[in-house]
Amino acid sequence: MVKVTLKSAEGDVFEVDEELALESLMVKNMIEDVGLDSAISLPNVSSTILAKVIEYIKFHMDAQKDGSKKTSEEIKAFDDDFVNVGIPTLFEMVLASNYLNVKSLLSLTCNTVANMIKTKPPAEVKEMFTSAKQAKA
Amino acid sequence: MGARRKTTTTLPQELVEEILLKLPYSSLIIARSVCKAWKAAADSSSVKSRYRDSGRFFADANSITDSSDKRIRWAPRGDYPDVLCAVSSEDQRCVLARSTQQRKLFLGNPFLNVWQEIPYKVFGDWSRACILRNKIVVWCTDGMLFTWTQGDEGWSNIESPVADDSESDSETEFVLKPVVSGNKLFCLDSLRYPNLVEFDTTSNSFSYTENVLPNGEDNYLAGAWKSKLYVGTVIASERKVQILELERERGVVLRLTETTYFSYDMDAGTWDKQMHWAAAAPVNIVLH
Repeated sequence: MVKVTLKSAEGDVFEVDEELALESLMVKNMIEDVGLDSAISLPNVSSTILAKVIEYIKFHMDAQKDGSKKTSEEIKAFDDDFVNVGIPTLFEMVLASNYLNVKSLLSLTCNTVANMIKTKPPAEVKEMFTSAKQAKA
Repeated sequence: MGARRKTTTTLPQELVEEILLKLPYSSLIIARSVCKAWKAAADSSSVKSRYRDSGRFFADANSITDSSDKRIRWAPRGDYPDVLCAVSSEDQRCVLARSTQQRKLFLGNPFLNVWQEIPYKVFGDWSRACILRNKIVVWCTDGMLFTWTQGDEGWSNIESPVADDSESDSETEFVLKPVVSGNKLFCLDSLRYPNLVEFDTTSNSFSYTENVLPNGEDNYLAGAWKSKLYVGTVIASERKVQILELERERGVVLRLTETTYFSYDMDAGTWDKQMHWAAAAPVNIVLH
């Protein structure tokens, strides 16, 4: 199988199957433009987040394959667990999935943020998201 | 705050917008108050034009219920007006609001907090107002229609035709809250032998069908659904409610369903098959 090399912001190298890499429309366009010979540089995505994104795509690709025994409950459980992270990480995943153009992950992460806003009392929402914001300032 | 924490981040406005668009209205208000950036995103034209909440309007209580079933009080422009009428169709969800203090009328959408001031006028019965795409029509019980068209400086009035019934024409009364269907309005005149009056809002013309409904029935309520007109009637003698579909082009009444009428006795706190006439009026047809 053809491999694609992805390089994170820190310069770490991830070697993934081409099929997996193509799930990112952004990477797909890059491959079409520059080919497979050189590593694809992703300066906006940290190693931690890139590893998460790859894990996500891999799980869903396997789940969609014929003969996959994954039930929709298992997929749901994976997704729930996957986004069960702190707000800074969640925001980074929103950014990364937008940058890499992985539609399903973008919608999963955005929905997660929306659900946090929906289910928490107003004061908590404010605190939750301003502290996530202040961390940058 | 000291050392910068690394790998933390804020979202660009376009992504905040995507998140806000997924929220029910009550949560949107909360998110809007989180910080300046989120407020700017919530107020952006791209959110305002795309935001939809399948909430419901209440015509009476200055309140709306959003899709998460939270009730929200609202008031346009910081004033405390009465909500006069609520109509929400597929692509338009508007309320008419009046500020009695300021003598002002607003047409708008509380979900988006978008309001437009329209010429002021006072009517006896605002519940009979219909909000159409470019127009507001108030069909009063005496048959008088008042219309305001987007862009007009004032209201104009049109008199609706009255049945040519020389015996008791003084009894004519437009009994139902008018029903909107497409660009037409429907109303029934007179209680016992109702005639169907149609008002075409594009040509400002009327058409009239006499005695559309079976005689001798009472207590009509109408609703429109998917450009068809339905009328519910209470048949007291049989203790039944009937839902009728009016097929307007052929002037035919189709009988759809009949169901036994139940009423709730407020004093006894029980459901009863007996008809309580005093309490029989609040029959509602909810076509959803």
